[in-house]
Amino acid sequence: MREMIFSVDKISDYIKDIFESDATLHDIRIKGEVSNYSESKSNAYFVLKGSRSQINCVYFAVDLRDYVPKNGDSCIARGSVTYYKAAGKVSFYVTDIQPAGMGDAYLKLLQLKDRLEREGIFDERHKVGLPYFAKRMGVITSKSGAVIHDIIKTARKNYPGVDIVLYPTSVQGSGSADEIAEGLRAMDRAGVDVIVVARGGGSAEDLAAYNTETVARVVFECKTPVISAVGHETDFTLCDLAADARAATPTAAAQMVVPDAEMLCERILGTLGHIRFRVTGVFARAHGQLKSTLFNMFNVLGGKLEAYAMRIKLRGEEIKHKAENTFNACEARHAGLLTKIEANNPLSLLKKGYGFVSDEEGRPVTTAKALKSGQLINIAFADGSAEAEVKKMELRSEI
Amino acid sequence: MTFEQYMKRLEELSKKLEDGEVTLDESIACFEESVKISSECMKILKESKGKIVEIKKNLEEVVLDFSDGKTNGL
Repeated sequence: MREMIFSVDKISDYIKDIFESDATLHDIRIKGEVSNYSESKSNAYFVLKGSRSQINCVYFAVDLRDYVPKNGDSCIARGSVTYYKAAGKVSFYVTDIQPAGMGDAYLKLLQLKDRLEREGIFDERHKVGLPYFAKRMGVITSKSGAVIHDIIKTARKNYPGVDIVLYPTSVQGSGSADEIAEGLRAMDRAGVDVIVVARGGGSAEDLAAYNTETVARVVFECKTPVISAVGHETDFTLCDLAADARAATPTAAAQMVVPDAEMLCERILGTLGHIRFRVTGVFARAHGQLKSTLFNMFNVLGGKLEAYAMRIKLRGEEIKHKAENTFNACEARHAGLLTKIEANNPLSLLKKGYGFVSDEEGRPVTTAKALKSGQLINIAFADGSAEAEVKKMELRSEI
Repeated sequence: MTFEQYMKRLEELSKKLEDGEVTLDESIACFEESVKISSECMKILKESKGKIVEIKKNLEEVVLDFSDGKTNGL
């Protein structure tokens, strides 16, 4: 067999890997007595001692913790065992430490809490938002006692129209966890906007029903948003952790989902007023645009109309001028014609002593050649006519 | 629509008018819708008589009277 030689780094890596991969060393609780306690830069260093062994512990940000251990305390620390390569030391990195001696019940509760937490029952990502305004509020609590009265009073004061659906259960004692779980299932089917699981303050034993796995799981499974208002503000239950929201008191739970209706009215009217203001602005802008468009339109149109009017006027004058010219020309022509007519009037010739000769059929006789001796002719004068007989013709030789 | 959805829509309309260039038609539509939504919300908010009931496992409802500060069983 070949002999292996490791470097310190290699073997340290290997040891660290072994520590990391062993589930038994992760997220565990160790009970022991605190010893060699010291603090440096808000980190605590100590050992937890058993009867025949001890383990080094590191606890970070000790200044932010509610409980700080001291030498001699018997404690239960939660965390993981790791190997610190630089110092070659095994350390327990503590994430939470509580004094022991709180009894087995408390330890069991812590174990249950760890288990459910690992399962994701308390995960933020599973939580649903609360309704802004619950019109119908489911309440799971005792029918008697101050809790239901406080819830009704607060919810109705804020909004008198709220419907409250109560599933009465016992809030402590045997069977109460099952009753609460049954109530949650029924309420989830009943169609409410939100479910409030409520109980007044009490001892750890009194609140036990709200620290059961049954209740925590049913709260987690509810489709309807669940508010847990169990115990006083300082008491934390598994129901609180599984719920979508936690209220410090039942009154606070009612206030979380039933807002003041008067205030809401004012808010709505305010928003509406704002919308109205904006719309008025849009109208004013549109009105302005329309006005300027119309103004422009009138300007353009007005200019065009003026041009048309001018053109019509010019054309009218042109026509008038032409008509006058034509009329004048006609008049002149008429006058000329009249003169001509006057000049050619046969009567005026007859008046001068000319006669108009026609034959027996009334045809004008314009040449002497056409006449025969002894032919009867008619001679017209200005004031009458005379019938005559041709006696002798003399023809002019040059014609 | 639930009251929450109404409120959300009303805020949306308000925001739309605030940031966007909206046309006259759009703004009228916004206004009409917001008036309608507001009146629906008011109708819910002005409701004055909610009921208080007890439900059983089988979801059967029984009206309870808490008006005098006391009730049967208290």
